[in-house]
Amino acid sequence: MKKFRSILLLTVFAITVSAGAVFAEEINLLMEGVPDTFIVQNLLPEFQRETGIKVNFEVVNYAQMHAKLLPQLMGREGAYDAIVVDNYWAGEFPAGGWLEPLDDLAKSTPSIELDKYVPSMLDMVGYHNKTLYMIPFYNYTMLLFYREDMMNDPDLKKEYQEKYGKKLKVPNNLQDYVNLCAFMTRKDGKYAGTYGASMMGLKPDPICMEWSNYLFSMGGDYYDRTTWISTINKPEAIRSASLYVKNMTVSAPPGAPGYGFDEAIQLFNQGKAFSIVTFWMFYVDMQDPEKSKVAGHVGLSRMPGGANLNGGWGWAIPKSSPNKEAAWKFISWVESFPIAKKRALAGGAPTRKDVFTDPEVAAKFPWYPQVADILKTAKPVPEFTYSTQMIEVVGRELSLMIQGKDIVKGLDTAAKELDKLAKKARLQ
Amino acid sequence: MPKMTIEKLNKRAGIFFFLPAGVVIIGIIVYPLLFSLVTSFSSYGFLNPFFNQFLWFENYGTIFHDIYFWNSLWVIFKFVFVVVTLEFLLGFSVALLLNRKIKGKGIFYTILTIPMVMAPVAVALIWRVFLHPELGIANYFLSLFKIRPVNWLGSSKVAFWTVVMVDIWQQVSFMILILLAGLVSLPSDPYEAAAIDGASTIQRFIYITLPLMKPVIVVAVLLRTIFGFRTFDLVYILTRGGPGVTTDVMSYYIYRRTFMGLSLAESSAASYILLLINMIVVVFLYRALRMQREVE
Amino acid sequence: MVMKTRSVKKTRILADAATYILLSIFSLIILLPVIWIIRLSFTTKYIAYQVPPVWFFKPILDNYRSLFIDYGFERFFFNSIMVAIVATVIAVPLAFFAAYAFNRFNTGGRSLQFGILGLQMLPPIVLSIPIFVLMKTMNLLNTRGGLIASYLSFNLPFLIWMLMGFLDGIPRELEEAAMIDGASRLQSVIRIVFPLATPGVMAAGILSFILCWNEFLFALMLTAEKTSTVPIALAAMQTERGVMLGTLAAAMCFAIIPMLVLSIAIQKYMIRGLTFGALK
Repeated sequence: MKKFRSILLLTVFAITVSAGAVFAEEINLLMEGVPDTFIVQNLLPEFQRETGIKVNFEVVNYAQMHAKLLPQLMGREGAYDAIVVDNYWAGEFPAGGWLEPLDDLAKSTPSIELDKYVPSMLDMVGYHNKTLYMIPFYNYTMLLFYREDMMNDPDLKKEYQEKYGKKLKVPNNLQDYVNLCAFMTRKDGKYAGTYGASMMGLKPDPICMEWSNYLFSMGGDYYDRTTWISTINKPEAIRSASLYVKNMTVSAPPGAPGYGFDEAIQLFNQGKAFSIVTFWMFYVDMQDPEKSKVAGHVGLSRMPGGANLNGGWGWAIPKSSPNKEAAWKFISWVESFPIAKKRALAGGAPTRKDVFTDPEVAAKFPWYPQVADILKTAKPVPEFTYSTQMIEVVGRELSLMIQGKDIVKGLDTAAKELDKLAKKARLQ
Repeated sequence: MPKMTIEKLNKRAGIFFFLPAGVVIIGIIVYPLLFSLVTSFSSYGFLNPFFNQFLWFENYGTIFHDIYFWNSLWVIFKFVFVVVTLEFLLGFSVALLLNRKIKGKGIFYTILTIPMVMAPVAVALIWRVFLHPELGIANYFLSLFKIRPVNWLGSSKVAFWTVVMVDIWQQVSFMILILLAGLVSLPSDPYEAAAIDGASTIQRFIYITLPLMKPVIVVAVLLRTIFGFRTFDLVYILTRGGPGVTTDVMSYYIYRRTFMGLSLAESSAASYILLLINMIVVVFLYRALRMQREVE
Repeated sequence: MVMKTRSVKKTRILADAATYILLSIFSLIILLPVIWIIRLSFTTKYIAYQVPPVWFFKPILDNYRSLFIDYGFERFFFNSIMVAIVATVIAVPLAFFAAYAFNRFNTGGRSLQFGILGLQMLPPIVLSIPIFVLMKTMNLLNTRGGLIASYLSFNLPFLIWMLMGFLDGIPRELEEAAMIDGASRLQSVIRIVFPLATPGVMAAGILSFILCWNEFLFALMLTAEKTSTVPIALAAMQTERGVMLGTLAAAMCFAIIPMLVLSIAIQKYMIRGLTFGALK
């Protein structure tokens, strides 16, 4: 009798467990291989405990992600329940009709507090044509980083004062910045071998993103964002391009025209450059003695002139998602204040105002409030169906200009092609 | 009468032998080929994944008028020509060396075939690190010999040759592999006869080795050429087609048309133009290399 | 006579020495970057980029550990091996027989032969979408079987052509002699032609394995988390935070191992002196 009872119990137990397994939901997401992804990944067991939903992260590299997503999005049922969308694609995906509108869901979910997000984030990876398609995930604005030790060096200060008649300080316009880089390209003395700027001339993304900062800080833009006529060959753009080329040829290492993000950062971290314009998440590494020779000497500021390039990712639910409910449960959990704060404390890049200014977060990362301030005026590249192709075209022309092509001709070519793209996307 | 039966038998045997492969080929090869052809006449793309418009040769026209298509064509032709020639010369020399009676061949062979088995993506990533102009080991190595640092990937004059160099480093083992297999399969009779006749090493090479190796050489060159036209990962990672457009190979051009232009129709059209040109090159090569053999 | 022998010997020694020197130079050129990669796998990115290089550093196993713990590399590794082996095992026999048909009987004429090669000249990107659609309709997405099937699409044509070239060097008289003695064609092909074509078959097998092992695009499109292969893992190490150099190098070192094993295993078929060289 006893044996029979234990077998019965065991069987009931087994059935219950397997029933539980059958009913346990699973959702699949395609993610990019960045620290923020791994930070969320570490928190996933918590989500599973709370809701019973198992979340599978498939991690790929940025470039491959776009190619991999497209076939999945165009079908009726795809492999991914939720995805993350880069701001480059934030115009393409809604225009293709591939994303589920989230307005109603957001309104009815208390943990999603849209008013708490930095507005520029919602503009960039949130709304498209007044409909909400994404919830901002993380941010990668570009900032100007520079060597405080060189800025505070008394000899350099004296020399600068004598040469330019002004005090050595962080420049507030592009021309001054380029002059400063030229000055900081030292051939002798204490900082011999240092270049004024570590730049990234690899096309298309690095060079285009870097130059966008120059373009925006001169008040220029790719398109007039209401008429969608290309303004990339206007005087401000031409000026910013010639300053960019000048900086690259005079103050950057000879290999810079081929540098990607990685190479440029490594050069800066090895102490061989005075300044660099790059993503703000790299600041942590720059100040880490195990990863950088210049740890403790790096300051940050907005781009001289004002507008930095904004970039970021947002969570979205594809129309081809097999399980939209579970996907939304996940999104509303991961973007709730407590989880967003946990992510930020672990080193993630925040998108919510309240996380940036939370006392615990600000205590651990004192520069966050400054970044939040800069974020307010950060601007992304225009987002529409052909954003990626736009970047490719501009990147190509910039690369040609560095190799000697006439700047006005290059920007004119770019403007023509950009107008064609706008027409193709039926915006003009 | 008997002759006809034998021919028929042979024909049947041929079909019988080919059939298993043939079935797979029809299923998994002909279908995509047809799909692409049809696509090139349509407006199929990610935004419009339907065959709802018949566009005649409009896509082909778009491609023909794109100067960057022609640039990519020029770049890839230049690349394949240089790379296949150099890899063949180098590979054949090494294969001949490995074919001699010396000790320790196994070690050399193993070492020489390592690069081929590395994923091109990984090879390119690592070489990018080596070739970093300021922090890379390549320029450091040169500096030990008092040679000035080279701007491997940032100079429009040098970048193309850098990509060629890395490709040779990786792919020469392919040539070595095939050519060595060919050399090993050569019969020993002709050589014994030649030794009796007192032929010199060079004479043996020109009159025995080369002609007998013809078929294998043809295959090696043909295959490497076809693979060469597909070069993508190397360029994508090392230079993204730059600086400027000096290394913008055709596969990258097509990649952009597909995933940035979002138009599979246009990239299919470009691919078919490439296919046609490739076919001409391959047939031409084949005839040219084979010609001499038939003459003998 | 004695003088002649001595000078012949001298030439032989010089030739051998030259051979050793040249082979060593080539091997060094190949080996140096490989050694550097091995070094990279035991160090951090910070040290990797230091120039002049730090020669004595404390080697760390973190990269290898991260490879398995963070990336779950064993899964990719296993998938790659399985897919490569199965695709090769299927493709080589099919290709051998097809190559035989082409070479001996000119089946389908030059048009069929060049036709199957023609496909390979289409960039894989353009073929990847129709293959994706095909696999989706057959419900083979995210399966190793689907990936293997798609690999046959480029394996077969190349292998057929390769084996055609090797079969050219094997005279027909051999199998015809066997058939006169009473063997069927199939028997004579298997018992006589196949062994003679061994170096070619081995080379074809290795080529097939390598093509599958390194293939990236189809793997990207057709697989997901559980069935991804090594190249996907390698590409994923190129993150927007920079390249995970140490882990990449560790992964590369690991990925070479099966190939080295294979290479050493088939060496005796590929190098003269140990085998089937003598025909008659």
